[in-house]
Amino acid sequence: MLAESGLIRPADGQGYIVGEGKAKPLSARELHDILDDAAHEIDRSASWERIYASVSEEVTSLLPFGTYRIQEAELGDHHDVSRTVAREVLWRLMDVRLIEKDRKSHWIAGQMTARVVRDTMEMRRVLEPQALANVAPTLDRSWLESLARRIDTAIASFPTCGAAEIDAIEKDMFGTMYAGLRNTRMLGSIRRNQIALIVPRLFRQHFPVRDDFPALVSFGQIVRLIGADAIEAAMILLRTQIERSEPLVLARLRVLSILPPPTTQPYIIAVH
Amino acid sequence: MSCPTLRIIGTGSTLTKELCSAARADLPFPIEFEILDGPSCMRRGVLRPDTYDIYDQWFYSLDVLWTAGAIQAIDTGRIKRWSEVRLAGQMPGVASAAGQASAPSAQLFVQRDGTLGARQDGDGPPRIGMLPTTYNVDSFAYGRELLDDVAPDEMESWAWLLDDRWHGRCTLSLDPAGSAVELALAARAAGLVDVRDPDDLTIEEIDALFQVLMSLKRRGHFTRFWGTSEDSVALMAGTNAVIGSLWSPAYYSLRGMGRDIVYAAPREGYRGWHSGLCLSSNVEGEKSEAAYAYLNWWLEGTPGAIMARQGYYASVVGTIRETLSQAEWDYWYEGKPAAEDLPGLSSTIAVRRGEIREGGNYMNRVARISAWSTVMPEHNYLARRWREFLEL
Repeated sequence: MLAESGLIRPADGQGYIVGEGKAKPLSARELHDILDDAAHEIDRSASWERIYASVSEEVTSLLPFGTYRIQEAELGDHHDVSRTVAREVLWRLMDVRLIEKDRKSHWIAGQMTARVVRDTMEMRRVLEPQALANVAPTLDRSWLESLARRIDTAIASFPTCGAAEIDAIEKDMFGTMYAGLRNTRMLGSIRRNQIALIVPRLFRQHFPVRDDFPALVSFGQIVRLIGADAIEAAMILLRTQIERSEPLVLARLRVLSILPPPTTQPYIIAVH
Repeated sequence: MSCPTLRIIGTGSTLTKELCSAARADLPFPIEFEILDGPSCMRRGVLRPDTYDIYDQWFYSLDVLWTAGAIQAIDTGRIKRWSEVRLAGQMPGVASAAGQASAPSAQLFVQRDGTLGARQDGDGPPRIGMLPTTYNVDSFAYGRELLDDVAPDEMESWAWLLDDRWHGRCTLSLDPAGSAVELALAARAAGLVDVRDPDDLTIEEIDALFQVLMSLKRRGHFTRFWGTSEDSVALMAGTNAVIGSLWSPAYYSLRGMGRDIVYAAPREGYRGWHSGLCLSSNVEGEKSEAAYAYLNWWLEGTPGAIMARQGYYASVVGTIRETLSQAEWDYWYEGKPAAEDLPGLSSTIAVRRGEIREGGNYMNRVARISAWSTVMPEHNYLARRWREFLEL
């Protein structure tokens, strides 16, 4: 209708032009990036997003404790959304490999195993140092400085800095740090492989933070190296840090086997 | 000022009536013993270090307690006989599974970075996570009447636990740290599941094992499982169970009661275990003095002899040799025929004159450890499957 009324003109099969300007031919890649971003923009305003974060959190926090089935209709009822929206959330959780469909087409959140921890951490060792190198030039210096100061404060007051502050620092180190990555596929892979970060977070809810000190020291060094543009050294240190944390994550996963399974939301059923 | 009461939690495996009485008689402070089953003890050890001063359990729980921050390092400078302590298999001439990743020695020493490792790290008296006290090699027992169904050349095997010949009459421990290893040995020996290492099962091996076990349980292969040693005695003394995993004290108790049962020396080897003592992270000051006194007492002859009379070995041997009679030493450690009737616990006769211990002498038995009770890397997955199996 807008074209018919002369407000916009077709641009050689690449959308429409507003106003008097000339069409700028775009490569297939550029076009894809634009459309991909546009899709994300549309998604962000969709109703599934309103509940996505809390459902993801509710499911993730159960993974160390067993295998669970998620009921689509009950999920919708619980969060007061339609079944279509509930299904959309579940498809997106499957997309990030938090859940899968079994042979009976049930939505299943499979238990986190030592193998999952080892495999995902191997991927993190490969992906995250490169992501750090890619994103480092774009990182805000004042944010890096403030992160370094927070880490220093946590080290100085360890262990009274508390679990919540260590959680928040980890979130900045492994979440906020990469948020500006242009390569969204890489970012997606990193997010999918950070599933085992739930283990230290859950562990710290129940047990002392004694063993988190060396990681904080490493985080401080990494942030300072980025600030000093010593990116290769930061990459090596990050890789080493992820590698060294693996035995601790595995040991903490074994400790979680002692805990009784947590209470689940009404839309989640323990399978075993 | 009155001495504080030392609070000890553990299982009936080591905290026998005789041992508790001897500790109270020998030590100058009040002691409170609380006896739990294995899984409950580990759960309590991890979650409530404020409720005990000393944790007496198996080595496989050390890693879990240490990671949870529930225990503190033991200063071997305060352990009088530390230089005499030997772990299972660490005696001259013994080549066994002592070097495996799941062996108790793999995580004995506290490292400078706060982790646990196989070797002393640094100068001075080492700091350890658990003081090794007593250990043994375990298998299963069966009523002698079962031999009527066994071919003359058939060797004892873990596979017997899953054998249809004794359908409905097999019992196991409720603790997956020992039972899962035994069942993996059994399923492999029976050719039912391809298992590479019973101490480090993969997800696929666990799934395959439980597929077999669930099917067997549905068909009624197993009778009730037992939680404590006393419970296992009651089970095997009755008519429901004729074969099952059994600890040494239970075996000798049953023998003392006149039950004619045989302790197997399976051709696939034994499941080894090692016990020790940990200090709660809350122990300090005067309590610490009492705790170290208790730790040191455990390495003396009296507790070692009590353990020996139920079939266990001790990490310090010299003091036991001085405490046991020659006949006892010869039977329990040397594998020789009993020169006389030998006492067990509770004034019963555990061994009749002329009997020989299954598996031979100390070295022969320990050298045949093929797997250890363990909290394996996939324990979290295994534990949840185990719970599902028990609830079936």
